[in-house]
Amino acid sequence: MKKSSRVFQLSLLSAALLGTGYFSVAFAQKAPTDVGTVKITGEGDALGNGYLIDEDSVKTKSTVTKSMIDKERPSANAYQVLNMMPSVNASSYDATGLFGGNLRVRGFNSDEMGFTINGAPVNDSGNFAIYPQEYSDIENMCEVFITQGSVDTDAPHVGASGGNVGMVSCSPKDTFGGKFSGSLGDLNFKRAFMRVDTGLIGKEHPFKAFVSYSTAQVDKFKGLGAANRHHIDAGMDWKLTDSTTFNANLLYNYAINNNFLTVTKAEFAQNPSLDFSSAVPQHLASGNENTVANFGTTGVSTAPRTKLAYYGYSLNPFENYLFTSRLQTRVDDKLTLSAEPYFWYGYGTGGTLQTTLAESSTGFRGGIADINKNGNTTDTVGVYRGSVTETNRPGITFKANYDLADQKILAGLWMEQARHRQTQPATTMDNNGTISDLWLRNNLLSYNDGSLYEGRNYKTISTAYSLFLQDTISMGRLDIIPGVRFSSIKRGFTNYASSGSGLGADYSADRTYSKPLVSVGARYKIDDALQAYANVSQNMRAPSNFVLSGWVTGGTYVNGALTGFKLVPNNSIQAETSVSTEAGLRITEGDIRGSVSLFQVNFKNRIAQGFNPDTATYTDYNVGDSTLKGLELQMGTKPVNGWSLFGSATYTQSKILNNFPATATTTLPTAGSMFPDTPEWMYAASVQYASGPYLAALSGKYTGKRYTTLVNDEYLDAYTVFDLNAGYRFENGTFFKSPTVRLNVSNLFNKNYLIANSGSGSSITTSTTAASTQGGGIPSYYVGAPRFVSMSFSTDF
Amino acid sequence: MSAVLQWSYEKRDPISYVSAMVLVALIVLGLQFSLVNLSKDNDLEMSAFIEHPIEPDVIKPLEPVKKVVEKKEPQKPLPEPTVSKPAPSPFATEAPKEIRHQDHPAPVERQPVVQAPSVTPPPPPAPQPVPPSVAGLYEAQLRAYLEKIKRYPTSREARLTRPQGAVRIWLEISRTGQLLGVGVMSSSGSNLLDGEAIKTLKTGSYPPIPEEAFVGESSHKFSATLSYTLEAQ
Repeated sequence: MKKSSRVFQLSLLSAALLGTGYFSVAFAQKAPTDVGTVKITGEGDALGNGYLIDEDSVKTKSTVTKSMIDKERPSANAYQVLNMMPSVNASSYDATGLFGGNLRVRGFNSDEMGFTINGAPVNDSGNFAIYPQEYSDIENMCEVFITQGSVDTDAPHVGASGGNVGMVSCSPKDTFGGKFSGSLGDLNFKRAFMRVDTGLIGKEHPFKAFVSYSTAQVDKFKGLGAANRHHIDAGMDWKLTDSTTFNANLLYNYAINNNFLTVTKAEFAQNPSLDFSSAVPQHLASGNENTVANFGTTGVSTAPRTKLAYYGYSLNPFENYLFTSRLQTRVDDKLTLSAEPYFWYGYGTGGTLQTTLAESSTGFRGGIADINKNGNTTDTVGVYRGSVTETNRPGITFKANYDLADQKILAGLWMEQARHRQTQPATTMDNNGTISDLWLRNNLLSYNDGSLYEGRNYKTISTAYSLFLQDTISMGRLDIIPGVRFSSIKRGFTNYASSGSGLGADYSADRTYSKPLVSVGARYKIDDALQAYANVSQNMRAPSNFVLSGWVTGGTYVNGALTGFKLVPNNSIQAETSVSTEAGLRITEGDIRGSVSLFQVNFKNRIAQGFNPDTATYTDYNVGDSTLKGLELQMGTKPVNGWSLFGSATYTQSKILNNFPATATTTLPTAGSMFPDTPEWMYAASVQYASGPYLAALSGKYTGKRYTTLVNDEYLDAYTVFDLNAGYRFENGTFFKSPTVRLNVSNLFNKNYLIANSGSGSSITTSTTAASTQGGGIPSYYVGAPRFVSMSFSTDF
Repeated sequence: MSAVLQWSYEKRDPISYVSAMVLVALIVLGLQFSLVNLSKDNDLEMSAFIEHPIEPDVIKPLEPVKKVVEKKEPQKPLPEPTVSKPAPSPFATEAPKEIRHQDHPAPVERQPVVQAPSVTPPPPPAPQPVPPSVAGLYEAQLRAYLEKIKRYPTSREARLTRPQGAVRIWLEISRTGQLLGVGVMSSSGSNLLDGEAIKTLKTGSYPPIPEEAFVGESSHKFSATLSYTLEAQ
């Protein structure tokens, strides 16, 4: 204070001496008048109940922050967290989130979007699928953001044509302590979570770390079966020097969950709780189990079903871990360098694994050996067979940020090599429903030559990289951000001969998909309250690895090996690409934040299962172009007298531009149709009241009518679901800090609704009437979860 | 690992009953603690609950001058403009929770013993005694404006790396309110935050300096500390 006042005096003195002339040179020597400290929180002051931050990106972006994430049921997954965001059409197979769910944004399915955890990509390296229930516990998650429609230039994706989603872990805490959280609820829901933080250790090179473990389970809301999950998260921050930091995170997930049966609208109307069978299928002495109804694998599409698989044989065992890290060094006041290595491992199987296999003494590898050990090879036996995927996926991103006065240059390289092993072994189960090894690692069936039975057997080495360069040019109130990335993926595919159709002989194939992708965005600060932005970006999604499978046609088995076959490659498929154009306005006025944006996506070469004239079969194929146009609105308030609001609205006009090749001779009239599972209207609103130790938040989401076939001959009705989150925070005890009890009610008014079953971008029903063509038939749906109540108690210590 | 987990999967019922009992015991314990402590003051903290109930008063420029003066941070010697020293705390952050709740004029609580405010007495050599409140008010106005336009960086890089730190910046404003220059006096340790602070200042529109303040200067140089923290650790 003394100092600044002296400055003040001096400046007055010099003003007196020098008159009023400009004397910036002299003035520059003096200490300036200090106006104090302004605090800026990354979370954005709990704007809009935690559904908003002060955004100034050149793209439409939504961010859910910790203050919202903390209010969710602790078992929630990232899709549920994002559900209120504009353009997001998210659904969960149950209320807890432990069974997974689906996400669609501006017409793009989750496997057309790029997902990262702490910057590392987590989409399946083969087909880009996403399993949100495998990721971090939300107690350890600080932020989930979504860029609707366009992929960030510096994001590590080759499989994203429709935007990206990032999940970010919280750092370890500075002080020693921990957190415990326990939940109980309907359907036997139980969850326990424990986290311990070391706090800062060491003065010169301080280190801090945390580790947490959680276990959760819940029963299905219809039929028998449950979800069971064990999860470990760990993280560390280490300050190596004043300018160099190293941080790392590890997540490990182990989950086994039974599936929900998907049903048609008619089946749902007849029996809303129709699910897998509770009766264990019995092996027959006669040995011909193929004719027995309860060993059938798929039900027929009429209600009531005559065949339903046993619930205990329809499940998803999955184990995965992800290591992410970042070594960052600030070279000087302009240059920052970082290296971010990561490693993903996943192993699992899933689906309805109940099927029958026929023993044989001829054919591939001499036929399938005696399964039921009755001394002959003439039986058809019920077995447990599943598609097993094992992925080892190391990767690294290097980045250089160069900050000049009016330019920020970001350059980088992302590369990874995913080794993807996909097999389909089988094992036995007994008459009590016990599976020899539900993970399909041991006790596997063999051929007569002693080798292991496989329904498929491939190895794909996907080598991907992306070189990117982005410049943020500041010209006063205007910022222009041009960016370019060159993304490439090479699929090195090897088929090892197996029993699968089109897979009977060894072959290898390589495909490389690469493309330079340009983006340019601009932002103009009109005044302190208004900001305008616009951007255009190109995105691409490479075809899945399985377009390289199934090329073997013809041939006969001689001595257990296929001879005289032909390879018919699927050569025509190209990457699907999209161009996303947006323009928007952001408002920051007093306690209100909002944005409105117009978007248009031109989607080219959409990949879907269609009739491929090259192979004369049904494979993933480029089925044509589509456009999506719309308007997104989001708005929220800071808390005023304890009350705060958030709302979003989305209008989407989607249009398929081409007819669909259904067979060699017929095309389906899809041109002009709306995109599947892409409602015209969605609204979400959340109102929260917090006062002293009490908190209550009510949120509602309206999802409009949406079509579920490509020719738009079936749709699902609009529905609105309300959730209530309430909490009471007790006073600190001698041991407990911030002990809190929470009540989470999902689907408060117990609304009945159906959810489109669009597990991947390519598996959309084409038409309800074209049952004889690929992808035709009556679509089946997941059933929306009924009301679900859970209580949680959490405390820091 | 897998074997253990598979075992626990098979034994999930007994395990979950045990954990449920532990949970109930903890709730009961928690309730007891809270009953015991009911009489204590109500100063609780939990980020998900407290939603920034009161806006910092500093936005309003009409504060008593003395208070504004007190907000200055004389405890830090002003570093040379070229020095780029990272923030003092190893991870460049103070515990954010505590600060947030009593968050009024933020730095006040960190004040050392307040010395006699020396802006108040009119400087004797000045040709015309300046009403001290005008300069003070302008400083308060400036600070409130910075509060209004402050922003945590939103780039993908920033959201992923979540840097924290305090950057001390200077800005020079002309009489007419034009920004003549900005710069970093001491770095936050993160170029991203330093750059964001500069960008925030550069895109601002500043009020003209009142005639009565900083008399004789055609422009005035101010400094401020922009402290970037994360709400939740």
